[in-house]
Amino acid sequence: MNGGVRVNEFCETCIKNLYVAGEALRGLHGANRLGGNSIPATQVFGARAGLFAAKIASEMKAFPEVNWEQVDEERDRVYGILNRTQTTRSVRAWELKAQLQRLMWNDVGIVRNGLGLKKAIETIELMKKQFNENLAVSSSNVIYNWDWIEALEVYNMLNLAWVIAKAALIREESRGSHFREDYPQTDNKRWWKNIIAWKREDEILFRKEQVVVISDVIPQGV
Amino acid sequence: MLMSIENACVKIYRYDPKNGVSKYETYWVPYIKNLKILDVLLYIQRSMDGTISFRYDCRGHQRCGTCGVLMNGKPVLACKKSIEKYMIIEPLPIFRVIKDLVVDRDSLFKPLTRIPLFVQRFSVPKMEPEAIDLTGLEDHMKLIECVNCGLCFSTCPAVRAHVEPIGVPVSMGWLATLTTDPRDEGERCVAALQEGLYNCVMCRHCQEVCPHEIDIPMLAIAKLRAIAVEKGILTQSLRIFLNNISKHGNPWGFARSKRDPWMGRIKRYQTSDEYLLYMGCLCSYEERGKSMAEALVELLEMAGISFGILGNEEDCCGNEAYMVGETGLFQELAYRNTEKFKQFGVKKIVTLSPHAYNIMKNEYSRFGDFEVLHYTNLLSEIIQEKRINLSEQKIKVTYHDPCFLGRYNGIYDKPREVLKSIPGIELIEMNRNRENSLCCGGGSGNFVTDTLGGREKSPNRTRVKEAYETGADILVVACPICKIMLDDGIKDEELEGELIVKDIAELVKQSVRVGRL
Repeated sequence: MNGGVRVNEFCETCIKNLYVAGEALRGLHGANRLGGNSIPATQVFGARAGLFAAKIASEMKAFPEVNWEQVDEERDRVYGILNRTQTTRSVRAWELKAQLQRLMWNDVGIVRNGLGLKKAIETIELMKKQFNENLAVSSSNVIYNWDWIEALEVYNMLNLAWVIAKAALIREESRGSHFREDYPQTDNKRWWKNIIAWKREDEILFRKEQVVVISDVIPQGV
Repeated sequence: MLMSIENACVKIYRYDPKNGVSKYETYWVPYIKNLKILDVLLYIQRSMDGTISFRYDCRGHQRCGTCGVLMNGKPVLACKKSIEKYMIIEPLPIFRVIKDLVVDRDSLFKPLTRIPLFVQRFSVPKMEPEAIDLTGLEDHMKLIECVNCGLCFSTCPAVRAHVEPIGVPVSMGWLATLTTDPRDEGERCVAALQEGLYNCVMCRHCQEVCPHEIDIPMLAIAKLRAIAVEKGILTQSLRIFLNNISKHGNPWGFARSKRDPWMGRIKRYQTSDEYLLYMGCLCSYEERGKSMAEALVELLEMAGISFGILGNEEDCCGNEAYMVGETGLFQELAYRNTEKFKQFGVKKIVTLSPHAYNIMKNEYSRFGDFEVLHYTNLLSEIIQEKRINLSEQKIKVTYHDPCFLGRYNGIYDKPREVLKSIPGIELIEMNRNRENSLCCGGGSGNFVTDTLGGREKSPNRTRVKEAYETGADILVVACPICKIMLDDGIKDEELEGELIVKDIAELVKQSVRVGRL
């Protein structure tokens, strides 16, 4: 939809053999999100992703090599949350979730501005720090432990919220469902572009990419 | 939440899979009207006890169907049902409990994997895109609202009775959805038969608990059965059942002439009589039914009601044929019966069986204009008018709601009024009562065909256990089928002597004071 995972024409991501379809896919409808948009996302790209993934899988001779170091790292992160017992300063995952939801609605919501976005990014960074230092779970049970489930969710939500807020701050114009109070005009000269967030080691970087025009209907603007 | 002064007591079932210990834990939460159970569960999870587990997803749209729990014995969606001052919240029955309120929904989906759940089509549409005419698709549109929450599954007596899960309400719902789809050309009746099409007892409990109020018995099962019977896809016992009704006018195949020898002294109906007492097959042939009919006849005579019976002229009411899907036979029976009623000049009919009451009240109107009463209605009138005097009875009773009286026709209070009018009687309600009452398992011909069997978890035995737990001496019923089924249940449970099944008429007759005051 408005934002999402970048794929090639076979629905493959920049990670080899990882396919994406549905609403996790970006850019099918440009900057807008209308009712019924998910029909092509599921019916066209869902079918394509399944088709090509099945093709690759059936042609594979051997199981691809697994980076076990990465797997261990991820396992440690996921199970490590269970060891965090509650203290007086600890925070529960649902509290962070509720705080993040309020923040995203107020500052990264329908009407955005530079000041609010900067404030939101700072707050999210603070919350990430809080997550790493003070988050705790009520029990170390692995079966249907809501605290654990929500902690894992909040970790992803915080990362994603940071990317969304940062990209919204970079885009100094209004387009589709992205509206900036301080830049209310659609600026085709400067912003006929996509913003792409990518990760290098532990750092998330942004770059701009010119949009390839496949339709002659160009949004009105300066 | 902090503003309120009142508190609600919530007892929650806890199960720890690590050590296999199950217990109930009590929480006191602020009581706010119209708050949903899910809100309370979230409140407890967040601010009281973080270890509690339950399932939820869409939070209040009733779309995801994952938050089903048992509240005070009734299956509900936690996001839909408002809280009460005192609640016991348990996981859904039938399913295996994973932790606390979380259940393993595999047994719900397993039956669904056995049927091809997609539109099967062999012909090519005339044009693309294909236009679909939506008129006449109301049933399909209603059925497709199903969200697979499994509440119907957890409460279904047919599912309960089986060891290997059959998905009666859910699979039948989906099969009917596909059958009513104008594009579908697949053969659905054979799959339906294998999935227990004729196991359903039409108790309508599934519709009662359904969050979208889908009438599975009428929209899905009756529809599929009608198609299946037309094609001749039915079980052997059911074939005999229907044959007997059509040939002999009763499901056992007894001779027509054997219907009334024992009724010798009862007056035959004449046009001057006010009521026609419609006996029905069970009360004519079955010993336990006969005693019920005799008691009622005596009561009516005592009260000086002018009534008569048809005797040998009587035919099967056709309710079971209708429920089984043999609509052709039903129409023939209804026509035969109504013609006879017209011939005798009948205006008011009193039925003994709620099954006959249901079909005559709701379906016979197409054939003629009659007033139909269930005998509990007449009894409550008689007692109110003080036509009979009741003596004191020091007994504890519990009342079992017949499905065709309660859920089909909404009569819950009349039988209870009759019971309460007996002085000294103590009416103890079972945990599941009224709308949530468990069926005895005798509906849609099962009292003869016995497809559900008499296993430990069969509905009649479960119901008898529930009645026994109340500590009542007498389990009161208002239906001959319930009477037979529950009586059999008592024998299977070896509770003879501890609990007796009695019909309301028998109980009232027993307490009548002889001689007028």
